[in-house]
Amino acid sequence: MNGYGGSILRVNLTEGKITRLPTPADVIRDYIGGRGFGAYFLYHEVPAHADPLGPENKLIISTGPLSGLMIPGAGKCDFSTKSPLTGGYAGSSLGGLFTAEMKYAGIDSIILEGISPKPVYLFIDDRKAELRDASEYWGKGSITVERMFKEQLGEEFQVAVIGPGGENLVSYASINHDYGREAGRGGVGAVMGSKRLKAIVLHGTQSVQVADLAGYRQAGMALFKACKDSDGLKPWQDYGTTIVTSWCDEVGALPTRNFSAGSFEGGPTLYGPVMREQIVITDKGCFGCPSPCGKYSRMKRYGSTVEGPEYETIGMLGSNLGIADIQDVAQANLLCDELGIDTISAGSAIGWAMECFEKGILTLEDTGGLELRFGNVPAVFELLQAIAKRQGLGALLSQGVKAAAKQVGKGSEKFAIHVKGMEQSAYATHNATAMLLAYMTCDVGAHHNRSWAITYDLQVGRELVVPEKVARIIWLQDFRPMFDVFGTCRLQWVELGIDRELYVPALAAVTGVQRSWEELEMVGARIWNLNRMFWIRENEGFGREWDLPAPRFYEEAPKTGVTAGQITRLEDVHKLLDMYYEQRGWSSNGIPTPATLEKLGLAELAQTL
Amino acid sequence: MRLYADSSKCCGCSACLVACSLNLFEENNPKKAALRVVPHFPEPGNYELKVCTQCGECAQVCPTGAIQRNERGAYFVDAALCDLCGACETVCPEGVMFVVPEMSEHSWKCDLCGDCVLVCGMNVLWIAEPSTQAA
Amino acid sequence: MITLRPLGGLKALVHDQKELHLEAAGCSVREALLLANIRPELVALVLVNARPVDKAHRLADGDIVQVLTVFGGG
Ligand code: SF4
Repeated sequence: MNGYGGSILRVNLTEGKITRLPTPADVIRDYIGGRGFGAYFLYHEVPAHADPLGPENKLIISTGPLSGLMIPGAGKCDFSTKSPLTGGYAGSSLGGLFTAEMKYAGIDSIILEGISPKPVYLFIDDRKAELRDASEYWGKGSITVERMFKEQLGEEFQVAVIGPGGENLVSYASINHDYGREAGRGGVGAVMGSKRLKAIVLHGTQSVQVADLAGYRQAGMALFKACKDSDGLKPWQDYGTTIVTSWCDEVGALPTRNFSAGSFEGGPTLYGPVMREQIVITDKGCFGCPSPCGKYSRMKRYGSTVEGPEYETIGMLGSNLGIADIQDVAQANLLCDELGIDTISAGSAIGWAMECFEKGILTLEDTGGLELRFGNVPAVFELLQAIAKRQGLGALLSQGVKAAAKQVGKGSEKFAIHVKGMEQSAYATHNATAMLLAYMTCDVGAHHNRSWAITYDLQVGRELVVPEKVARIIWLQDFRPMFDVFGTCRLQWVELGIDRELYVPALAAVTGVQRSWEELEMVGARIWNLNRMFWIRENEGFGREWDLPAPRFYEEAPKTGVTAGQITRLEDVHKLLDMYYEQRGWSSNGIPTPATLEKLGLAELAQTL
Repeated sequence: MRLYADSSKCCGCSACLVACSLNLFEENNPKKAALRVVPHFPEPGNYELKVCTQCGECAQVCPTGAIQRNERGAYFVDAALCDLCGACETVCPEGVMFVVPEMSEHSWKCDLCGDCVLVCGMNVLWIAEPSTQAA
Repeated sequence: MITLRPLGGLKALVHDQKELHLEAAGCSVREALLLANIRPELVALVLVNARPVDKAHRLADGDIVQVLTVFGGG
């Protein structure tokens, strides 16, 4: 199977049974790989209404056809599951070296099912795969355990591991790898923890076949050349995603004090150049990356090192918590990594709790004596530990802001910043309607990776509600996630601006199947609609209501910063959805029509409507 | 000519390894590359890149004369002559002479093709005359 | 005279020119951008002589100003 590892590794943890079967050709044809495989196996293998943390849910880990090859950023691995945070589809992307190693062990997807009677880890060395006792590792932090494995097995083994957060089923627990890369979102780590699987360690030495070797080498080199010739390369290498920190602050997109504003008076001490100068020691990239966004940092004050913080973490654990010191943010990042929890959701949960405290909704009694005011760094560190251990207030926050706000009530639902239960990542959207729509309709909840449009909002007119914005979001949603299908990074297109047409001959030479971007976008739309159908199947009464943003973005204009007084009206929110559903070929309640499903090759799903 | 590496710039991405295996074996397989990326994490937090200096120690000890020089001035392995005795691997001061019978029927090393240089986004690698590089 | 180099996608806003020469010594970066018909808020990063500065930074004769945006997104 050209471009593929060639097999699906199925691990039944209940029975301790592992099987390896050839990757089905029709799934390759219709879903290509990576996130496509994840969405397909999730929909077709997990029974309806399965408990996300029960034996019926599955965790599907997939490489793509370009993963591990001589292609820029070929280091992305997809983790798909039914999310314990949202009750819907979760697809989280992991960078680093894991996906390449999987490919070289001959594996396209690892499907984890069932629940092990005791803590185990999955050991894979080429054709060999077995479950081993993990009692030595259980209870330990993810960085600690990765180091232990590397010392025991050698640096050539790649490790994906959960921390205490995953073991304790925190709804937004992450899966960690390479000392600072995470499949962070949607609680994939909790699903792994529920299966009592502490880690996957793997090593692969098998060569990967491609259809047209000369064509592939030429197309791969052309991609690298385009990246290296890009005039933006140097700045992106120097600052990574933190290039945008100052700019988000300037345009009112930097989440500040639980998204009550979009600019932060303490912002300048968090900006990219300041961070580079003060703490960054090494650039760190995923497999094959010419523009490494990973910044490895040393925090002198804490005597520690961490990969990051990257922009999202700076927004969510910095300005969103009223914290203006880059070393404090980096240390909070390190705690999240070692504990194995998502920095975005954790930052949002703590931001929400701080606002509750300042408003008197949560009292000292609720916080266990913590003065939970914005800017209180030691309180943040303590709370992160409590979340991972699910103790005291941490137990409440470990469920995510939607569930926490429902439990606490008293109006706190209005400032629980999420869509579909997933905490919004670090772009404030009081007055950026395309970006707001991107968050509202993203297939995992309020995450930015499918589509992103802040610059577009500024270009077109940020408050405008026009069909072009909706079309742009749909185009991005169908196209950008295709990088997660290929098993590569989108940032070479996003940041370096390389021509996406360069991927077409590369994919054709690798797989032997010629597909234009038009066809690829069709696959993107197929996956998008399949995931929509998963949400519908899993959630009684799913529809328009689920696509609404946090009320803060249509009820409560910021009082400070550049977006002070600016807000999107609720009727415009609905207008955005009207246009979106229409352009997507969905009903006015956001349900794909049978005709739309048929057009995308999902006719069999139409019957379930 | 030889290959040089500035490890302080290396981001560990390993693109060089797959480019190398494509040149040496026409295969995608970073485990069959003639460079080595050695990560040091979580502390001190950097990468070390090991490359062939073309010192020729391997050629000197090769009992079958399998290691010869090519037109670029690089020592390369003549596959037909190599009998996998492993003498070269033990003397290589950089640890970039590879003898792995399960993976290849002959030993392998850097032949200075330059493809690693082409895919390295961080300009970690370059090829130059040793005389121009004297510190 | 200063040299303004729009990087990546920003070139599209100035008819794909790689380099513009502007009488902007003494101006702020923001003013120089306006002279070039680039809306300052679209620019995410400014480097003057390869060092990052903010948009209020005053330019001197001979400065080389590189500006970069994010079109494709985060
Ligand atoms: S840009 Fe960042 S996320 Fe993408 S491949 Fe490079 S290091 Fe990984």
